[in-house]
Amino acid sequence: MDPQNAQSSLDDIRRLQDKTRDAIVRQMFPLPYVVVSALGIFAGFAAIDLPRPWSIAGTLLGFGLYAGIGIVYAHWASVRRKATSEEVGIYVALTVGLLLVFAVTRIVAFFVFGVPAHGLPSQATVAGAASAVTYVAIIPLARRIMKRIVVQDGRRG
Amino acid sequence: MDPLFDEFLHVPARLSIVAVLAPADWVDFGFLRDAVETSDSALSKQVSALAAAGYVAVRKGQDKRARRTFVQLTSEGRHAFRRHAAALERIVELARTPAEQHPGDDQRHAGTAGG
Repeated sequence: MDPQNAQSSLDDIRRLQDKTRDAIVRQMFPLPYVVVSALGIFAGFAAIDLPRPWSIAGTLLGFGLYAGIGIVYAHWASVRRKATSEEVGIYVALTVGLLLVFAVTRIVAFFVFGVPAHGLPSQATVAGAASAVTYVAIIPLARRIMKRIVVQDGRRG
Repeated sequence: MDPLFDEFLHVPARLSIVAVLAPADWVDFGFLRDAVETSDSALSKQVSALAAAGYVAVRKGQDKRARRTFVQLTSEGRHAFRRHAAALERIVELARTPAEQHPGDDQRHAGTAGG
C-alpha cells in the first residue's frame, strides 16, 4: 500500500472519529436540557419549606423533572456511550456542589438577610434559586471538562 | 503487505463506518449516514456486510412513534479496527524512517505524517 494512501486513510479516520466525539459532547448539556434541569432544581429545593404534603410532592416533582429530562435526552441521543468513571465523578461533584450551595445560601439567607423559614420568599426559595443559577453558570465549565475527558478517552482508546 | 492490514475493512465506505462507530457504544443509523455522507441504501449495504463479518451489531429501536436503528462496533470489529489502524500507522512510519535518515530525499511523505 502507498504510504500516502495510508496517511490519507488515517486522516479520514481521525476526522470521522472527531465527528462522533463532537456529537457526544454536544449531546451532554444541550440548552433545553439545562433550562429544564435548572427549573427542576429550583422547584425541588424551593418546595422543601412548603407544608406537607406539598413539600414532598414539590420535591419529588422538581427532582423527578431533573432526573427525567436526563433520561429523556439519553434515550433520544443519536450517539450513545457509557459514561467513564471520570464523567460520573463530574456528575457527582456537580450534585454535591449544588447541595453545598443550597445549604450555604440558606444559612446566609437566614443569618444575613433574615429570610423566614416559611412564606414567600422562604429560605429554601432563595437557596433553590441560587442553586439553579449556579447550575446554569457552571455548565460551560462542566462541558469543557467533559470535552477534555472525551478527547483524552479517545486518545487512550 | 502488513499482516495486520485488513483488506475487507480497508474499503473506504467500511473504514469510514467503523471509524465513526469506534468512539461510541451505539450510533443512530441517521447520524452514521450523515457522518459518512452516504445514502441510506449504500450505508445499509455496507452495514450488512460488516454485520455478516461480525464487525458490527445492529439493533432496531423499540419505540413505536419513531423506528430507530442503532449500530454498534462489536469487540471483534473494534479489535480489527485497531489492528488495521496500527497497520496503516506502520506503513506511514516505515516510509518516513528512510526520509529522516537522508534529509536530502523527497520529504513529501514525512510532511503528511503529522495528522
